[in-house]
Amino acid sequence: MINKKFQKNWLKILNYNSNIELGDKFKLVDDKVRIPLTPIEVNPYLLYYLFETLYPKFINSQQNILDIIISDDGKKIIKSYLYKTKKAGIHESIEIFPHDIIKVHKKDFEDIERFYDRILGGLIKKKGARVSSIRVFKEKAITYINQHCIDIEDLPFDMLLLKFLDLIQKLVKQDLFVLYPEPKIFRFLKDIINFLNGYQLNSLFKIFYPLLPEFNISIIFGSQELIIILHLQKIFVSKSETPYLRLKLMLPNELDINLDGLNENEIIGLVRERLQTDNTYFINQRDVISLLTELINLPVNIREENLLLILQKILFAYRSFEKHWFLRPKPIIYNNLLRFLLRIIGFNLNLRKLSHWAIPDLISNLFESWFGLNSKILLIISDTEKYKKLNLNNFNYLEKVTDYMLLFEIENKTLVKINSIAKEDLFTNGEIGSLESIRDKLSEKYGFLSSIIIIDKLLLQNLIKHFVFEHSEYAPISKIRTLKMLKKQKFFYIFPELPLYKLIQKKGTIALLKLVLPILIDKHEF
Amino acid sequence: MKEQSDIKNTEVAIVKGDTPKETVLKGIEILGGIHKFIEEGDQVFIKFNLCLPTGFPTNTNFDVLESLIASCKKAGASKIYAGSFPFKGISIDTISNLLNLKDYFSNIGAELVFIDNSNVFKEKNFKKDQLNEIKNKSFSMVTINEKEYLVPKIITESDKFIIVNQVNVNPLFKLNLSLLNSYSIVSPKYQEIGSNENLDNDYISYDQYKNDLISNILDVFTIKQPNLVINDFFYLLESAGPYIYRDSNLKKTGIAVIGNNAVSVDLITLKLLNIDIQDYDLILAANQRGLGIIDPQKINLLGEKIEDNNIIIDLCVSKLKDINLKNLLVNSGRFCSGCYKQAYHLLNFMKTYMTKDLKYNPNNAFLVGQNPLEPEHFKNILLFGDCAIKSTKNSNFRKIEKILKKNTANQKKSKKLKKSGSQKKEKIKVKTNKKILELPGCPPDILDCLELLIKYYGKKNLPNLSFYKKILETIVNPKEKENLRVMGVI
Ligand code: SF4
Repeated sequence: MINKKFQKNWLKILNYNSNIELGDKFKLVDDKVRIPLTPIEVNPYLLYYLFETLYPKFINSQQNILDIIISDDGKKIIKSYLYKTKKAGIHESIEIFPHDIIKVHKKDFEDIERFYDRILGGLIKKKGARVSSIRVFKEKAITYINQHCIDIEDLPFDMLLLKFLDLIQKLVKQDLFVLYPEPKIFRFLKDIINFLNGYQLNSLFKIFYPLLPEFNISIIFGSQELIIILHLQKIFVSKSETPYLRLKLMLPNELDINLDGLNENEIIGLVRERLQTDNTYFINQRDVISLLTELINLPVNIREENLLLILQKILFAYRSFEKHWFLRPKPIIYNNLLRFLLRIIGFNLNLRKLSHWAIPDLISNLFESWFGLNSKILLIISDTEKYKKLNLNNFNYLEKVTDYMLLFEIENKTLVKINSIAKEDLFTNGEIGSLESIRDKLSEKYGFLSSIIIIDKLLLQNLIKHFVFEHSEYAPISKIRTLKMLKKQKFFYIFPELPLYKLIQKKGTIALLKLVLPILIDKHEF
Repeated sequence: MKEQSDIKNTEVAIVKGDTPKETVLKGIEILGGIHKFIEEGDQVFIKFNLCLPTGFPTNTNFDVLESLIASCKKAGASKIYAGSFPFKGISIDTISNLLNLKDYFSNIGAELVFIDNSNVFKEKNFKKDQLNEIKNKSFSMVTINEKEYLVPKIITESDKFIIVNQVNVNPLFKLNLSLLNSYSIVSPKYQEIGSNENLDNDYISYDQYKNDLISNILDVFTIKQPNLVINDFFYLLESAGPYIYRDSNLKKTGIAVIGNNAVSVDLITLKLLNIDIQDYDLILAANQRGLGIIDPQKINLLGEKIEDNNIIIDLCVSKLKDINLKNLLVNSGRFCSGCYKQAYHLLNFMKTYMTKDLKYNPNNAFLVGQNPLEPEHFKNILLFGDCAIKSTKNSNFRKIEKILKKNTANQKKSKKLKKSGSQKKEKIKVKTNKKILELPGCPPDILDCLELLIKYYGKKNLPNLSFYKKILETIVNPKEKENLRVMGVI
């Protein structure tokens, strides 16, 4: 019933897991398994470790799991499997479960708690066993999973992600899969999908992915138990027209690295050399897990203060260079002499003093004062590169260059809804004339539109490249050039022209930087 | 001109809805429909909140305005104007540009009125007498209770007058209600209360500032009483307001109160929000002047019942020290509502926009009112208002004592002497404490205070304020300010 390749791989994983005894520290084998539902091949121990570490934190920390496949009408059980686990999340044996132990009622899928209690009662009575969680799939879910698994082996990671997001959306939207007790991560996913209001997760990925520059990086996730290396690339392969995303997960010994006695910087150096990456990061697994845990604990209707808290944590982590994370090659921006020289000409650029509290504060103040506590903001992502000759005297050019339009609804500092606006709905007769007419049109349907923000793909690409991927690189010219793009209507425009936008227009980029940097970077005193 | 609304037939509707727009329209329907208020061919003036070029709820909800304008059009209004005087020093033209209001109103069938004439004088350079001519054409001087008010003719000459008021908390009056809203049909200059020049004690004891303010508000209210009044608190700004501050919170009540008499509409709003009318002096004074009824029994109440809607809101803090700023201690002496109101806004501004500045400049004491408690061991002392400045002229903190040090040779000698038991006298020099910033005014002006803060602490030590000052400069234009002055607006 389930995809053959999926099944074979799954059994291989179970087989490996069953050979590991509690207390076994590190059991490498000369074999590979695929991470379920992906083509990513990893050492079975790495997968074991991931399950051992992540499953209890994000899914369920108790033992034994029961998988039940029911018919689409919910009337009968088609198959059920019992996984006895010595450790939470470590699936090691599979047992086909006799049907007569469980009786299924039509309403079970809706009242999963009662269903679980009945199963638990039956199991204890007839088999003397307990299960800590049940996963119920409708038959259709299995069909979708099987479809997903076809030919995924050769897919580049970006395509796989698109397929995977599509699968998740279908399973959640069509109520094909239930987990009990429901883990927070699943609730979070469901909330995101419902929040997107029909908008496809993979469409969001399609907006975001082209904005990323080409890159070749590795990230080392450090811990006392096991160090994991992630190699991530966005590259052009042979004659491909678009760059592919590639992802590999590996263990240090797969790169012939013996970690004994090495410190973080030495490990980074070796990994970078073996993988030939542009940048190599070292981050603690503990920090990543803690950030992810906080993220999934947030309500999806994101309240500004929660978002700012997360931003605060990220910035705090960012400023802890060589405490919480390491990077090689070591950015020149951390060179004391360079910073001293920059300070002499009026720029305090100490990234270790990045003001993790003042930056979120500034963003929140600017946002709240100018957009208000309730607002509706239309974000237009344009692609002016497509057209060389654009008449910027009016906004008619938007019809040609608009790629995406998203309308954000904010109520009492909380993002409550995102609507995707179809181009055809807005640009019906070809003539837009003024942005006020767009406001007028959308206000009719959604209520008063506070602002329209037009941002060009090229600017976004440059911002991501120079300020995210090359965040600590000392490259003043490219960074200033990117900031200067904010002054050009073609790349960035806010309607109506808010005071901050006017300030950006009026002030020179360097002068503006000098004005803002003292807020972004703390003085040395604390 | 001084029309009296028919207070015997006061009707007020309490309405609940799913959206602000729907709620207001439902309210007008309950009251008998828009035709009851607007007749075919009427020129209508809609007075709304237009305070600052910032987002909701500083200004009236534009969805509500839009539906009201559509209703007036449907009723056959020949012309619909909308307007208000904004915050002192900011022109309507600036707000209109920053929010693109002129086009917005024109698209929804109304005209934004630049009652300060800011749209005219930005076009070209007018001479003083030309500006005066424009002023005479557009304003008329109205005298009430021996006080003069410059009122835009377009308001007094309109057939119908509607107030659409966004209800937010207010430091002086607890809430911004429609009576208060009507005050901004006169310019900020005419809204100002004369200062207490002799720093008369009674002025503070009797809170003359607030009494004068109430009297002026009611004077202005009588110039043109509204035919329809809407208190919209579908969303209400609570905790800190009426502008958006750090402690502000938007509460969704889903309610609007609509009626044909401002005093009654305000009264019912207060009842719904659980505020004792005895605490709302403006309404008591309005009742005394016969401008409305304060007995709910005598009002024809329609729609929802008061007792079914018990809304609890957080009002503004009543003590300045409760604004609670980091690194700033507030010591209050005896002060009147003038200083309270302005200090409230300045402190909230500082709390919202100057967190880093306050962190960089620790140990500040903020003294307000007459004879505030002497601060001890503070690095910077801010004296807010003429009362605080003058009453502390001889305070201890005005002077600092400096113990003069001996040179090292002498010190060595003195150590030896001390060992041998002899006492050395220290020389103390008294100097004027220069770490004092006086923020003059009765009460002080907020924008002036910000300028003085920058001068005192220095731009480098106030990164936040230096940045926001640059933003403010895009809003407040000195040339425009001068024109507004000639025009009698500020
Ligand atoms: S200085 Fe302040 S407290 Fe004193 S009378 Fe004037 S407004 Fe009132």
